[in-house]
This record gives sequence, structure tokens and C-alpha cells, in this order.
Amino acid sequence: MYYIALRMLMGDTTKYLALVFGLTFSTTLVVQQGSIFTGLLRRTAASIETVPQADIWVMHPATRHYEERKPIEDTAALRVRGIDGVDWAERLYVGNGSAQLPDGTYAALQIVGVERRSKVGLPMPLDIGNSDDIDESDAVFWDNVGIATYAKVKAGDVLQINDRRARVVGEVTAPRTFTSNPTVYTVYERALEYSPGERNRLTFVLVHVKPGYDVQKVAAAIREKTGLGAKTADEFFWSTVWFFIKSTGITINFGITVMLGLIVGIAIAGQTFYTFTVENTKHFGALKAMGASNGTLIKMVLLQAFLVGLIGWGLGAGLASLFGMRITSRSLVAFLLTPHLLTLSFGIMIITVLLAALVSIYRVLRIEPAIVFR
Amino acid sequence: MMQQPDNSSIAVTLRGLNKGFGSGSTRIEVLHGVALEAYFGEILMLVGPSGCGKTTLLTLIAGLLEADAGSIHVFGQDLERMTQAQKTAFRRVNLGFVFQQFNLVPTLTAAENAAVPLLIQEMPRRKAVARAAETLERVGLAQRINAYPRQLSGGEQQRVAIARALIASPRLLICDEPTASLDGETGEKVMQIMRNTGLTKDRCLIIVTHDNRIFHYADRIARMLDGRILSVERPPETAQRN
Repeated sequence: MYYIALRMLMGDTTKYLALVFGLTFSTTLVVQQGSIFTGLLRRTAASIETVPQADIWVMHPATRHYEERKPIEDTAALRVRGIDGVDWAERLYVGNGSAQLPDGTYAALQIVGVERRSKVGLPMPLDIGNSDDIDESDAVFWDNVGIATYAKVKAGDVLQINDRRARVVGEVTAPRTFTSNPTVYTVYERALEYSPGERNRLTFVLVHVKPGYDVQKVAAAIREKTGLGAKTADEFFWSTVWFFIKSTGITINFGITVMLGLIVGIAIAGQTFYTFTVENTKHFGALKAMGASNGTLIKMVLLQAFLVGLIGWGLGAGLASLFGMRITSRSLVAFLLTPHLLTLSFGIMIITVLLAALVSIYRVLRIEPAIVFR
Repeated sequence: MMQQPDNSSIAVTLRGLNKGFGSGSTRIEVLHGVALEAYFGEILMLVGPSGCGKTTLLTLIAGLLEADAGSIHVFGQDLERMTQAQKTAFRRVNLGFVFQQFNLVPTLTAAENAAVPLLIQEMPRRKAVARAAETLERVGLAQRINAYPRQLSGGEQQRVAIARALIASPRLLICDEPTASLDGETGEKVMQIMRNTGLTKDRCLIIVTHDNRIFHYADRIARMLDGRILSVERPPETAQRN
């Protein structure tokens, strides 16, 4: 009977293609928009991931996420170093500024200052240049996203960052941030010179925990003994991501698009599937008359629905992946397709075809086999 | 073909059948106390003008509708006491159908269409289609087993429908106007196949028809009018044949 179901479905080429198209479109929309959503979310916290040496991020107790930076006293690093279990603790400055480019135009940028000695926080390996070059006078590393966006900047160029001289001595692969502004890396002290003055200037203290110590317990000890905020890298990553999910419109905006994809999928698939069932009413009636049970007919409809769903999902996910591969290699669009998202889109597809099939199943169950004699 | 009737040769027994549709002032009584028997080894034709209740009667015999009153025994089993699921299972094993509009699935080949009853009985597809090819050969369609319904003439489609009705070896064949959509010559051919291939001593054919050109294929003819059986007679040609 499953064979009959498949032949009934695929024999009607127009409706079969319409069903597959509807579900492909729906899945493409869900996966593509979902991937951009997860890509953007990851960018909100990407800077945290690029410092894998740091087990703990120490910050102002009021700081909730990476983009919300309340400076702390410069001596905080010293106090943290005194906590039992801390292997090393290094200062990190993160701030914003603007740079006048060689051609006279301006670019908003993120300024990151790292410890001169350890250079913790400087993305490694470097694309161009030597990490020791950062010690040179006015030296900065310009990130390759910035290079891609502002192609006029290259190693050897001289810029004005917040009206102070900066010389590009190399290129790094910096994490793409939520704002996609370019990032310049320099030593901590020079980063402070580039930035407008405040009483406290230190943004984060990056902590590495001694082997054998529990990271959570060390973070708790830092909080308790310094009064500062201290989160494990993982906690800080997720608190940043969740802040953007809960406190910005990004989730609603993308949610609306995903919902639209779902509605379009259900509408096209449901309507086409129902028409398909209505047009096959006589055949379903004949099958019932010949002894096919309701259970068999339900299985036939479900098989038809899940088959087109599976094909539509596969094509849709494939198209979205293709889009992602093309777009991420050529532009700044955030695109992160995760196994979780694929699983979720598969679940959405199951719900879509189930809803589409339910209407048809209801119709099939109500068919009186006696209609074959009318 | 037909034997002298006795209890063991009775395939279908109808007693006091009433059936109506609708309710209140719009209710129409279609059948009034119908009593009839059909025997193994015979072709029983139900004839009469449109609206006389012959198709309703056929539908009740097939267990596709429930009677308001009376009893329907098929092969000694009381259909009115069966649940819907039991009736479905009963039809699957014991009944074959030939419809006026053939009701072939357009996306299946002739062999696949003929194999449907076996597939409903969950026979593996290859085996079922092979059996269907043999059955199609019996109805003269050996060369057309891979043709789709749209590639077949009306007569060929009805022969596929007959093959489908016969393939699971049912003991009762229910035929609704099997020649109504066919020209006279093709109708004759179809009836010859029904008589020569479909009818056996342990099978009963009940045919609803308007088509008086095929009456001579009947062993008995039950004439209906206004929901009642007026007469049950043997056509002269049948008497000569026997």
C-alpha cells in the first residue's frame, strides 16, 4: 500500500512539485534566517571565544555582557593575582574610537589593548607581521575584516585614532563582532592613550587558573575577595548571548521571519495536500470499499506527507547551506548553521507536514466508501 | 452454471430490508422490506428505473451502508452484527468490485491497478504484480500490463477493473453498471469475460444495470420499482443455456 501511496503522490507531478517547493521554501527560510540569527548571536560574544587562554573574565560587578563595559580600577589585576588558584591575571582594555584613514575618511572601530609582555587577547597567529612589532612606537595591528571593509588600509599605513598617531604594523584575524566594526590591537598603555579619559580605565582582567584548581571555585573566590564580577569564560559567553536574546529585538525580528516561513510552509503544503486528497477522494473511497482500513489509509497519507517533507527539508537545508557557504566567504553576513538548528528545522518540518496531513487525514477518514457507487 | 438452489448454495440472503436517507420532512425511504436471495454460481442482475433503489441495495449487500431494518447475510454471516472494522476485513477477503467509472488509479499501470486488492492484503508487491499479470492475461490484456489507464480504451479499463475484482478470488462480485460507460460491442465483450472468467460454481455475481443488451447474461433478473422487488425471473436465453 505504501507503494500505491508513493505512486499516487509522485504521479501527480504538478502537485508533487508544488508540495516540495512549498516545504523547500519554508525550510530554506527557517534555516537561512535561523543561521543568520545564530551567527549574529555568536558574534555578540565572539571576542570572548578568541581568548581561549582565559578561564575567568573579571569585570565590574555591574557588567552583564561583553558589550556593556564598566571600567574597573587598574589595580584590580594585582588584587586578582593574589587569589589562591590564579595562575596568571592580565589586563585587557576594550573601548571604542574612530580612525581617520589614509584617504581622509573615518571609520568607527573597536580598540583592544593587551599586556605588552604576554599579549594575551591578541588573536594568534598573526596574518602579517610579528607580535613583537606591537612594542614599536605607535604600533597597531589592524584586523583583516577591517582590511576587507577598508581595503585602503594596509601594513605600513599611518592613521589617526582619536586624533593620535597610529601605524599599522601587521594584520590579524579578529573575531567578527556584532557591529562588524574593524578592531585595532595595541599594547594596553597605548590603548589608554587612544581612548577618552575616565578615572578607571581597565575593562577586564583575564585569568588563567592553576592546574588542579576548580575554575568555578576560583571565580567565586575572586568575587568574594575583590568585590569584582568574575565569570568563567563559558558563563560570560552565554550571559552575553542571552542578554541579546532576551533584551534586544533580534529574537522577535528573526522569530517573525521564521514564523512566516512556517506559515507559508503550512499554507502551501496544507492547501496542496488537501487538494491532492480531494482529487483522490474516489480512489481512497475505492480502496476503502476494497477493504483498506482507516489505519492503512492514514499511514498512506502520513507517508506521502513525510516523504515530501523530507525531500523539501533536504533541499531547503541544502539551499540554505549553499547560501551560507557562498555568503560567508564573500561578505560580512553572519551565518552559523549548527546541528541544533538543523534538528530544530527538521522538527519544524515534521510539525508542518503533520498539520498539513491532519486536514487530509480528517478528509480521508470521513470518506464514505459508498461514494464509489455514486 | 447455476445449480438447483439449496441452503448450501445461498450466497446472500436479504430479509425485510428497509433503508432511507435524510431526516424529518426531507427523509426519503429508498428500500421497503426487500427480501432476496443470491446463489453461488449465478449472475443475479438487479434492474429497474433510476432511483428505484438498486444501487442502495448493492451498497447494503457490500456492507458499505447500514440498513435501517432487516437482515443481510452474506455467506451465512450477519453483516448488521459486524463492526465497521469487521466489515472492512470481510470485504477485503470475500468481495470484489467492478464500478461504472472503473476507478482505476491513473498513476498505476494496469498490472499495479489489478494488484491493489492483493496489496491491501499485504502481499509483497512483486508477487502481487506477477499475479496481476496472470489475471490480466485471463481477461485478454496480456500485452497491456504496463499501460496506464489513460493509454487504455474504456473496454480495456473495465477489463483491468474486472481483473482487479477477481484477483483475490472473492466469493461475491459486486458490479455497478459495468457496461454503462461502454459501447454495445465492448459491453458484450466485458460481459463475456465476466461470465466465462468471473463466474465459477463457488462465486456469485450481483450486477446492477440499466443495460437491457446484457440481460441475457443473467441467470436471474430481479426487477425493482420504488424500493421493492417486483419480480425475480429467469430470462429465456438463460433457460436455453441451462
